[in-house]
Amino acid sequence: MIDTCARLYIVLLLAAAACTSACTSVEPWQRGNLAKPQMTDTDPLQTSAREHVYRSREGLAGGASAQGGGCGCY
Amino acid sequence: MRTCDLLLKSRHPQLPDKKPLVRLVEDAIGALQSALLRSRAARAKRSVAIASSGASAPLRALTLAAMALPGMAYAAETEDAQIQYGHYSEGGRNYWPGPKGTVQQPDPLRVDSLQLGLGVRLTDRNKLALHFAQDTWSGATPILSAPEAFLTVSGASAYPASDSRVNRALVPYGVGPTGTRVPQPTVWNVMTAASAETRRQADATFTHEWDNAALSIGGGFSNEPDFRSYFGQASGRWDFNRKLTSVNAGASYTSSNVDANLGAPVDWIDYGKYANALSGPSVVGSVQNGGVVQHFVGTRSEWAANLGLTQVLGRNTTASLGFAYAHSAGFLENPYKLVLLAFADPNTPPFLFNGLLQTRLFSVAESRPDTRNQWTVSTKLSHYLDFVDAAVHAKLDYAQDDWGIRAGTAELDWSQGFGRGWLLTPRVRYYTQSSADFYQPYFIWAQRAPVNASGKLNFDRVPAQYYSSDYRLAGYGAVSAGMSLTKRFARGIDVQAGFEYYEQSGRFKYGGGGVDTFADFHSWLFNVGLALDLTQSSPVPDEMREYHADVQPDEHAGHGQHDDHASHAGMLAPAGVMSAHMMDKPGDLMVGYRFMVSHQSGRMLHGSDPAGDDAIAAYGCGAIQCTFAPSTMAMHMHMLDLMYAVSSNINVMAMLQLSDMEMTMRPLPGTIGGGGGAHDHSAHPSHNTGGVGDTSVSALLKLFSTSTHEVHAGLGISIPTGAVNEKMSNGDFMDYGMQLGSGTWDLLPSLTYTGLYRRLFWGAQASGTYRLQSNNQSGYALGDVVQSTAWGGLQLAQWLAGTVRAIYTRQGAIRGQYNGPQTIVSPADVPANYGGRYWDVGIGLSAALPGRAGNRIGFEWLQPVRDDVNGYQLERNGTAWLNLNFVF
Repeated sequence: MIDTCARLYIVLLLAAAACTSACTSVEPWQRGNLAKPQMTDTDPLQTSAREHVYRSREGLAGGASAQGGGCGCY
Repeated sequence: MRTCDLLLKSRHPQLPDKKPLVRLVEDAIGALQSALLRSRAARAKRSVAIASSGASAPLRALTLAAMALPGMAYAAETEDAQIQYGHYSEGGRNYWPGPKGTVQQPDPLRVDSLQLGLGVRLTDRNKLALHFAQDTWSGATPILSAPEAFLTVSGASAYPASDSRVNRALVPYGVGPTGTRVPQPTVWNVMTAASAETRRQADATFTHEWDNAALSIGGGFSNEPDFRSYFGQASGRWDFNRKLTSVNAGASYTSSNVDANLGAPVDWIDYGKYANALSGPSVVGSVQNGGVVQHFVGTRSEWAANLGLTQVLGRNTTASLGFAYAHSAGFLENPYKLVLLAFADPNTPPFLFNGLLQTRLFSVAESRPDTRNQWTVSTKLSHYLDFVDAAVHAKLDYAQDDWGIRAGTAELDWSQGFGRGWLLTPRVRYYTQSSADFYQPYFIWAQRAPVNASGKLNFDRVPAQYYSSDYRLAGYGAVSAGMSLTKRFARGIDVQAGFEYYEQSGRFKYGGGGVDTFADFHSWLFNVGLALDLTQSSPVPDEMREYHADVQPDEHAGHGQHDDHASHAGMLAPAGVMSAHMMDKPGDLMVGYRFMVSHQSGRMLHGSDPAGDDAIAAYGCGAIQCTFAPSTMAMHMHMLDLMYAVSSNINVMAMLQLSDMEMTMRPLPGTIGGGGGAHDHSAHPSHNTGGVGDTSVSALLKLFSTSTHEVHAGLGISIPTGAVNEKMSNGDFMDYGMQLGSGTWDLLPSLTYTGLYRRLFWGAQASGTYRLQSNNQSGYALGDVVQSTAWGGLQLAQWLAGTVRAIYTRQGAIRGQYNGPQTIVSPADVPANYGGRYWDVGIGLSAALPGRAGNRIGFEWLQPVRDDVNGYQLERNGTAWLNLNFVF
């Protein structure tokens, strides 16, 4: 079930990206909104703390990054 | 692309309708922007300068817009520093209280963490990022899970029994309140407590940027007592399609060594599977302090690769898609997790146990495959909503591995701006995973136990090759919700605070069928942090003239040289001197980071003379015989200094601390400590603590100031935020030196004199710590401290200064004593063995950093020259200070 949902979602996303990106033209001076702090990770340190918790508490969280983080086996 | 532009216009006829004036202004600013972008030499600094110089809002917005281009995102963070403290605590872990409720409630797991980051631009296109992280954790975690029928109690601890009963459907039957066998299938956790442990990680990343690409390489290490790993990574980013599309790719490698201390061997745990392993993970015994200690040793390696695509989909929308793969090999077990293997003998004669089957139970180390392959797909969609000044971020991830786990994550963030630099981001997250093929809360087979001649389990004949009861591999779901609040102050200072509540349960598993409720738990995560844009800590033109005389040598002669330097004499003080410096300019803010490490080892002293083991054993613990003596003591302290100039004569300061300590002990010959392995300390020769220390707030008042001399007084209060109830896993207080704070409100007076003449500078300080309470919550108070110090220094170059100094410290003994259980085994457990008189000499160096005067890095080594201790104490080796300051 998750499989099907995930595949469908990715296909939709790719399709959306393909349709839009081909024709979108967003000039540098039109990127003000994209540059707002809201559009970025507003608290990257919290994000890394949260990800550390997920990595040490969940079977597959953290994805496939080999960036240290220690054992987390407590 | 032109065709597309035309298509777009024809589809959106409102675009050409824009007023010509607006178009003209947009084009003009766009051209200006392009010119700025092309100017390689000043690219980063100029754009930041424009963004921060209070220029008109549209221009600022456009500059930011330019930096939002994938390639410029790095340039925006030219130089930055971050510090964050985090606190994690768990609750709700289900543990078996025992039939009479006698099993001790375990302390919940808690983790204190610190993260430090520094990003500096080496040249226009080369950036170096340094990162340090530290976690100190303590508390109890599940060691195995078992049905109630299989558990028994010894003292205040629960253990798996070695023998029990099940019926023919393998339902466990335990001994009920009336003494007869009743079904007890409820699964519980058996918890194990551990003393505190600290992990440290340091890594560095070097990035080179081109106009449309960037390449990074980096590496680092992570070290904790039982796990050490080294890692390296390389990654690249390429922007194309006029920076609307960005592709990134990376690869990383991690190599880890596991060396888990399992303590002294106990009867109920069978490490037989690993005891004689010729390859792969193995359990080995070593002799430590006269007793055998078992270690689980092995190595692990991991390769990972990722590929990602980020696409600007419109003025308000971006999307990204990533793929990742990881391959792990080696020791993938969790060395601290056990599995209960149960063998119900189907040939049990029916008349023996009322038809129940005799069941042999074995608690063994878990067993996992030696390799793991893991695939992840991640997607993210970010959309800015103009009408509410908010952005919404939706993330969906899917991951799968060849252990049978399939996991999905969904996260939704709402990032709301409130103006004046305030930003609030509430967040919800959901995670679900299916269980690994070899996960079960416990394993049971209807067969006779495969034992060898000596009655031990024969692992070759266990019907499963892999088995784990680690809850991380179970099927469950997790929901969490939290928020992050950011306030951007002027001068590029961001203050951030956040929390998250997290709950994990089998009930939350997508599609149902999750693990039983015993595995449920919840946790809280709090964090506060500070992020500094160091490019904002740069001199304004008049300061350039005033402080950086070297920039304009013509104006140097006779231009207030003494005024400059008088205000700097304190700034040049050695790194280990607190409150030595006052800022002159009202409104200035200084953010400082200090790191201190001190070490004690070697001889035990009595007064100022070495003490023999016999004397320590006989007299070190008062009326009781000492059985152990400390052999090493290490302390690390991280401090955040914040100082604000209310006026040129009054500065206020706050200092926050995070510390950790480790003490190792040795048995004293001829005592029971040295006699055998039965004592608790022989299996646990080291004690660790760590966490938040005391917090101080203080004010500095300038009393006297000329071009050469300055005198200022300080008065502070130390708030007892550090714990004074750190205990060992058996509930006894650790020795006084291991507590993280004083536990009392303390008064911190100081008087400082600094002077400077040409390239010479000097200073002296008297300071004290007076306890305002006669005892803390644990029943004692540390002795008062008086310290005096004097130093002299020389400016070796415009940017470099060296110092020498002398320090005399006097501290009283501890008053009172612990008001709870404590086992006195070593001199460190006795209040009279604290305090004394100490003499040190220090040698230091400090260097100016780019930007404002006062941006400095300093280092100092303090070498003990004489100790005259109260009672019996371990000799000191020395103390190192590192100090980093930025003025805004």
